[in-house]
Amino acid sequence: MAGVGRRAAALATALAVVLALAYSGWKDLPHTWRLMRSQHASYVRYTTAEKERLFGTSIPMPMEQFDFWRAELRPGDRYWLQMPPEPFSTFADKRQITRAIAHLYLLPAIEAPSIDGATVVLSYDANPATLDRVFSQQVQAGQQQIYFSRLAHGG
Amino acid sequence: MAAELAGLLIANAAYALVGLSLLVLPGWVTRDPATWYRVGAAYPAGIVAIVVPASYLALVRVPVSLTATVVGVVLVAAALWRSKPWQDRIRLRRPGKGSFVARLLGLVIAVVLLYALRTFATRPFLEWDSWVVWMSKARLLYEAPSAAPAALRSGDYGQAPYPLGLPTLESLGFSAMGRFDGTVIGVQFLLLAMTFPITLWSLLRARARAWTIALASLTVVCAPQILYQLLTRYADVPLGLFVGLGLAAGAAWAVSRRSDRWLLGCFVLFLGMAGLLKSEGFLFALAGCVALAAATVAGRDRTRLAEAAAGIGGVLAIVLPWRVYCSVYGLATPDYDLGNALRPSYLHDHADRVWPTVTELSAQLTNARSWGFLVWAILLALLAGVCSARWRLLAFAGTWLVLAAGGLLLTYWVSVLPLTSHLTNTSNRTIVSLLVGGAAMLPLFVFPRPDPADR
Repeated sequence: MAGVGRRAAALATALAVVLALAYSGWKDLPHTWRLMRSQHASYVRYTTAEKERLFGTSIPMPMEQFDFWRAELRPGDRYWLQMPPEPFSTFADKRQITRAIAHLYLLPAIEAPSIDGATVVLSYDANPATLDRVFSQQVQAGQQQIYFSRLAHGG
Repeated sequence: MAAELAGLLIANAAYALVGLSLLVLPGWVTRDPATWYRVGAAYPAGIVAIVVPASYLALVRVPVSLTATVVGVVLVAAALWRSKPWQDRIRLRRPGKGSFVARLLGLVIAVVLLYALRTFATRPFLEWDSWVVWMSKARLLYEAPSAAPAALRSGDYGQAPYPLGLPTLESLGFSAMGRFDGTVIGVQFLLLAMTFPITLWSLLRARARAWTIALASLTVVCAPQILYQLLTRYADVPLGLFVGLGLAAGAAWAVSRRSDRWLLGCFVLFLGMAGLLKSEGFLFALAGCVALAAATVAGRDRTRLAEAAAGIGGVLAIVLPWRVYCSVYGLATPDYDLGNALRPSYLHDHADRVWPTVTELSAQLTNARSWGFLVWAILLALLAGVCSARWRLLAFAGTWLVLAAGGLLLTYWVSVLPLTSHLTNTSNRTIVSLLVGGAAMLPLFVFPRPDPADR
């Protein structure tokens, strides 16, 4: 008798599992379908270039300055970011955000741990003239405090 | 985009071919049509066969694409040499039709995932961890392999102790596409979801009904949280999928009364891969090893202890080198010190973190808007296991679920991060492996097929 009771309980719980799964699938499918449709609709009109910058522009950070730096970088470059800490959000300051974007966006250029290991200096809201280094090339983004400076050999 | 997508799909076809070779070499797939259902596990097995060595060799500056090419060519050539398919014509057999319900559910899964394809090929990566951690590591491995090891150790490109499984897979995708494309690589994540039902069927086919496998798969891969989290390119869902497949293989092996080494092999491959996808993956893989030992002991079959030990050794052989590497270079996360888990005074002082963690993780697990009734289905399946006295399966599944959930709780307990923001940012993701892992074992509990040894 106990065996029959156990078998009945096993059958009942197995049926309950099937019902729970079937109801979940039935309820979830329309939600998933709408989610896929809405996510597609949100981004389908973006160009490839816009998508490549979207993680930065949605913060929002001006990605033009990263494009400005990227245009000057050469393979094998190691950059050092000259930038004062500036308040930006509750979880990261502007320098942290800039570094995080640069790590991905400026590859294959790698961030150097210090200016001594760098080949170029990327300045943002800072003037490279204060660094007491010799540069073989320097470009400024218009009148902004944004510079690309290539360190002279041994500079 | 078409050229990039074609390259990515060709690379994924190559994973399947390499995986098939990996199954042919030990004789798990032969000319015998009775072994052909195992081909369903070829694709994820191929990913593991390529990604694991590529991840480790990337640490000594070997480009991931070079490792992939060499490993792939060697495995395929060895399988060709062993199977000699040119000697006799292989007679293809018409596949069995399976039950109507299973076919219908399979069709629904296929339609949903194919509909999702255009979304995965269109949506860019936006979420913080996605680009600060995973995409940065992946692009670094792809574009600067010689500088990558030192840069990865610096911690500037995402936390240094995070294992490289996912970045390596993405990096291989960029190589196949011919350029870095953070949008199209999304298709790689969808392909991981697509493989889950097929591989699960392959692993459980002999011991579970096709329609329960299809139903569990549908509930997992078509859950809004699964596809949404895959769109973010985070590692949590890929981790959950590999955990689920590894557990399904381990559970199927545990309930089997005859030795089935291919299941043990899949347990090793998929849980080993899980250990290289995220730091929690190491915890889930270790829990899987303990669960396998527990189920073997519960089965009181001493002859299988050696096999179980070999399986556990296999998982550790894949995951431990990363831990050794981290330990040699002193790579530790600033988020927590696992040593605190062994200090009763520390745990006592931070006991106020336990209850909020329990309630938040429970709320996430039981969130019907995200997961339907999946957690209830898993708990009911365990109850069904008790009622039908499936003790070995219960020992495996119960041990893993308790250890994995307990381990997760412990990571929040010993974390030095403020609890509220930590839970807010992660609790919906860290529970994925618990749910997918539980769901993957579920078909073995519900209307199981008799053991093939009894038929």
